[in-house]
Amino acid sequence: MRALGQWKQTLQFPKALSLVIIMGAVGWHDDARSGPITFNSAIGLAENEFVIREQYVLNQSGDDPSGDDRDRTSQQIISVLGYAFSSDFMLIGVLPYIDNDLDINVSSVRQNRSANDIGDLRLFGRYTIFRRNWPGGTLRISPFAGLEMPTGQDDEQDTLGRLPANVQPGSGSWDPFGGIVLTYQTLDFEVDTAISYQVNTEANDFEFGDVARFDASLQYRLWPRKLKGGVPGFLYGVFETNLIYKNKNRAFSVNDANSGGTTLFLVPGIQYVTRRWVVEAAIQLPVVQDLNGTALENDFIFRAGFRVNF
Amino acid sequence: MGIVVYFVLMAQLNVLPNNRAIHHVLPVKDKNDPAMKKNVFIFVFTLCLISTSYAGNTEYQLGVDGVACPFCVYGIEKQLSKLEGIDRIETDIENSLVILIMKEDFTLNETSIREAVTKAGFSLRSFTLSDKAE
Repeated sequence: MRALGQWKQTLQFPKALSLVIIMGAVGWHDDARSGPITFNSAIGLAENEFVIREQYVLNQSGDDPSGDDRDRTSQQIISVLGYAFSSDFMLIGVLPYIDNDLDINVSSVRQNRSANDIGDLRLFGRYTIFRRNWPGGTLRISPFAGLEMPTGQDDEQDTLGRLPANVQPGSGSWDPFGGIVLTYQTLDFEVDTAISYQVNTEANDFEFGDVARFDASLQYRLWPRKLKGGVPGFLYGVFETNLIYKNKNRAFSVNDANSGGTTLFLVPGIQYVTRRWVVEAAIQLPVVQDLNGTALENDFIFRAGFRVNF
Repeated sequence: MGIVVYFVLMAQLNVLPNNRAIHHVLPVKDKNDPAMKKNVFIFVFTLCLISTSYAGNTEYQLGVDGVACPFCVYGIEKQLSKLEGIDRIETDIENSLVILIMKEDFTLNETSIREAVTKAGFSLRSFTLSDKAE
């Protein structure tokens, strides 16, 4: 019997991993109670409960096939506030503070173009349409829909003129989005998967390409290995994937051939979860970048932050 | 608890047989001393009060489905703590159990507990008076 127990324990991790892959294959989106690190659609709350999430994001892109030697660094402090009107319906607001910095060769002269300000506010509602609970586990499916509002500056200028759209803190456009998220959680691990689509509209004669993404997250309890009553903090090893497809941008109603494409990130991370707070960190590594033309490739995205519920 | 009170009382009033073990633990003084009798009365009365209080606190054991991480626990404890008469809440996440320790003379019904658990997004599997209270 003991040998059988050990055998089952060694099987647990691959079983959880295969669940992520299966859920990915059927196109489900993620949603979790302790939650993924790279997306917000999975945060869960009890009725009349709030959650605050603060996250620092460092997004570095420097592999430039265009010859302009572009080097773009974007730093963000992302503030998330969620409130649950009921155990089924919650409203989530996401507001970033953005510091964008682009170094580029213009006529053989190195130029720096930068801007910092609050970005666009994303507001969305999520409703749980399916819930199944059992001892030490839960399965939830929740569609969500929202709007990205042009709260960020979109007409910043410098000595060279108007900043390019990818340096502006805001897009200037009203962009609706929606998707569905699934959470499967046990005491040992949690799996979240999500699919979503964002329609980007035009502002200032410029339109970012629409974005479709598939996200999956596995959080596996590393410590304590054995539970012994009470409510100990959980240390999770986190593994996430983000498959992101961006359509081509349009300027003055003409497609930009050097924009858009597909990127696949693999995301190792770590998360410590208690009753009231969560601390977490992860790094998004682009393992596949199938981008159009000379679109700037991503080097990595680092995320670290915390969550508090009240 | 009653047995302890009985032995303490009997020993202090020196009505037990000359038991060395008891006298060693509870030294017996002059049974006719009025101050001693007053002290014994207060001591026994306090013990009785403690004993009564102990028996009066009701405990419920809830089996709750869906709780799978520490972050979930806060939500359910917050909802349950809004119920009147809750003194303390203890959660055993491994066994999906929540223990409600009530203030003296307070009780709860299953409907209100089920409602609180549902508001937290979980399901009430079982609702029993705990062995301690029974």
